[in-house]
Amino acid sequence: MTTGAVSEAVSKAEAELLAFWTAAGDEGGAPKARAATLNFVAVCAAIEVEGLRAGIEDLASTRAGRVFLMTVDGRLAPWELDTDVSAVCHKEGEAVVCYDRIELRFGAVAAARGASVLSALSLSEVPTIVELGKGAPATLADPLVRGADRVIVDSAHTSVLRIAEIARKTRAPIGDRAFVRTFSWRELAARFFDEAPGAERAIGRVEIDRTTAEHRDPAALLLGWLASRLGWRFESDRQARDAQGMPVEIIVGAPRDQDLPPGELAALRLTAAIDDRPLFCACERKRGERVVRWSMSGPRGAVHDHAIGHRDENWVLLKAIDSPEADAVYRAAILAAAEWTKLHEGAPR
Amino acid sequence: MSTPETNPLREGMPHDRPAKPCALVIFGASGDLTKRKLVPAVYNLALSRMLPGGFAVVGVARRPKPDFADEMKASVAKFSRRKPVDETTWSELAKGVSYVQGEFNEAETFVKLKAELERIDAARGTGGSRVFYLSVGPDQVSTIVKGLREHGLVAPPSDEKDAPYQHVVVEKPFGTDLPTARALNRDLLAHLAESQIFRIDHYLGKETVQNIMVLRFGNTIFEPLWSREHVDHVQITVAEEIGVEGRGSFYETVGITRDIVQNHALQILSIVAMEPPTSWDANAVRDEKVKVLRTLRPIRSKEEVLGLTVRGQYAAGTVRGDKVPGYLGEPDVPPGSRNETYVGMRLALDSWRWGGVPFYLRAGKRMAKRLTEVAVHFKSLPHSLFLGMPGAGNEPNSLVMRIQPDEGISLRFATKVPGQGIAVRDVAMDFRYGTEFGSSTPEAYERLILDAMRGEATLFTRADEVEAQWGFIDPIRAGWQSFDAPVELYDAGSWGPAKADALLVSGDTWRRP
Repeated sequence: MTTGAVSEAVSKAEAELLAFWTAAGDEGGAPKARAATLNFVAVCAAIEVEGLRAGIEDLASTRAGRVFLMTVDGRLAPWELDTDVSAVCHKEGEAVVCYDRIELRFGAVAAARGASVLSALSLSEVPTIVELGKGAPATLADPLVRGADRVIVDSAHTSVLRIAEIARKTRAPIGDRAFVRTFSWRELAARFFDEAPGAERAIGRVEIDRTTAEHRDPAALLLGWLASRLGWRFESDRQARDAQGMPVEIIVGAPRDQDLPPGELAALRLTAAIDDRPLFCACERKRGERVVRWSMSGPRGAVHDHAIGHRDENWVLLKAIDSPEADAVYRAAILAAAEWTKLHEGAPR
Repeated sequence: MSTPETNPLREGMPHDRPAKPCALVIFGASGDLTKRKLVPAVYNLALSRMLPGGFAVVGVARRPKPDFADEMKASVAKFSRRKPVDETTWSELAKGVSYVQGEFNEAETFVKLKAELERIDAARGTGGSRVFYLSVGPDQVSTIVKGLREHGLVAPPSDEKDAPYQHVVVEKPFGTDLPTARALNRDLLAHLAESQIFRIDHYLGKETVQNIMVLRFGNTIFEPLWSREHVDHVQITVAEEIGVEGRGSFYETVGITRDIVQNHALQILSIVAMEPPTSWDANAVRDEKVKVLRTLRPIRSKEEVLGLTVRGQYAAGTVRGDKVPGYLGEPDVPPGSRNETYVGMRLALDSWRWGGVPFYLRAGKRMAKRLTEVAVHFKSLPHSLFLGMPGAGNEPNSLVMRIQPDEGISLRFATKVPGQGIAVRDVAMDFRYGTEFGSSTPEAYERLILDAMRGEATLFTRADEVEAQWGFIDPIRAGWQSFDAPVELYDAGSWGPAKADALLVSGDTWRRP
């Protein structure tokens, strides 16, 4: 194969798209309508393609657009590019509404040209969202990230150090599926200081119970979020200094009496203060339930149960795409999370 | 409570910050609106984590309801947009649900309610903040507000930070004509400040109605075209497929003009025609809307009433393939009724922006399909370069904003048909909410209940707006009586009486959406 092989494959894909869009949408000859709000580019390891494909179908049915599924396939010749173009149509009233999907499998060397291929085939005028799926090869992913309008990651399977590296490489906003999934925890934590305004400045102790998975620690992002919002600097994985220079003790451990799957949060306990009187704030997952008991004791007292619920991954992905209000907060949180992770991984055991 | 500006952990969370802890007190808690809309809306707010901790719901009605919470859960299961019911969310919500039985005109009811709210304040930390939702007939509103004030359940609003609040939500109709609307406003304002009154017109809570303002004031390309310079005419359609649904005796007291036109249709018109407000602040937006209502040219004289309006009534016909009776064949409709189920109007706005631009408005029951839309028809080309060429010069551009169903925006423009010669064909550039954003749009009542809790009144109607609406509608209704305006029959399943075509300026036609 030569470099010509990639451009030939691109031309073939373009021709297939053209043929599809110029054909009538129904027997009466009505034109097809393109539903397009985005280019969605999913990059993953070859072994993950099947799993990602189903998720992409769900996305396309709620956020129509041109969808790319890109991977590096070791079975292909290094310069080879294999393309597969397909489309899905449905009727909305009188209109035939369609969206298309392009699968691109790159040989090891051709992968470096992924961004160029994407430029040729993507729709103009709509944003390009790049999701880094499980095992997304850096040779393919990094150039795509640089040209993306938004990057989606999942810190449940990609390390916060890798995500922080991506964040430093691109100005594009980053949405994290894991950050979306843990929204309830952050929202419940914020409620403490709706009830006790200003007490967040006097947090002296943070305790997080969680389960870990393959070097992925959900405590990192939660701590990174707290630290970046409250102006803490990590001095070690067990201590930070708050904005007033006061120490904040950090305790991260395994959940007690809980049998949770890997990578789950079980409890967040904060010790803050109101007028020097300690305020104990806790969000603790109830055993065997997707329910968190939210409690405050000390100068203010209340107890509520809150469902942390279960959202399907399509909903999670849509939120990761559509929640720009959290972008700056997330970027600061992931960079702080990376700082804590470095200290944590380098800490003596 | 701190706000997103003062609680650093709230930064980056959805803009819709939680309201202060409060109790929502629903008067008329046994009614249909409570079951179908209010309680499902509250549940969906809880599910979206939009309710504050300690939030409580107190139902108030005449009937005994020992199983009020269970009944509410059944309503949620039946009418919520999100199913099935999330048990944890519901059980947490249900902890704050209680019921007070009593007549609205009896002091004892308010004494019991006060005791219950004080209990909730102590148990759930609501701190004296309440939203009183009056889901009751207009004749009971004044009585309830008076009772609330006399029993110390509402107090004048305070500017102090973290002071408790009491807001009162009033459902339409806001009176039955201008004198009754004025009397109602007078009664409300005798006990409440205007900032405590939230007159609900659920159309304003619809995403697509709010999107008209975003379309106009969030883009640069439309507003320069939004005037008599470029707009030929505007058509507003509020069409329903349904008839009076067994409520003939109620409908006899209302008619479509009071039921739909006085509120929903005129609200839509005012949003379409308003000047850009200085901000999204409630008074800034409502000031501009009320200005539009004041520029509506009155329809008073015989010539005006008979020439610029048409009232109609549906006869038997076919809707969605089903044969349906005419209005006079509906239960509880008296023989010979002249109540209108259709109204068409040609309106004029005496303003610099809209002078000479007709606004056609029609609303009807048993129309061809359920549809609410605004169509802005732009002027024809001053000179057609392609005159005589196939397809050229047929239709001017139009922008259609569909409010329900199939919410979206469609822009029609001419394009060249591919080929050697010049042939022109109209095409539509179509934006559909459902396609672009999925189908999880919040219900209007969710937005409006939350806004009432937060004291954000932009999407509620102010006293002067209500009075301006009645001030425009009353002379038309009086004119129909005085000048014996005919009630034009139209077939159920059609787009209204043929006589309505006469309202249109020469060359204009009603849209057939």
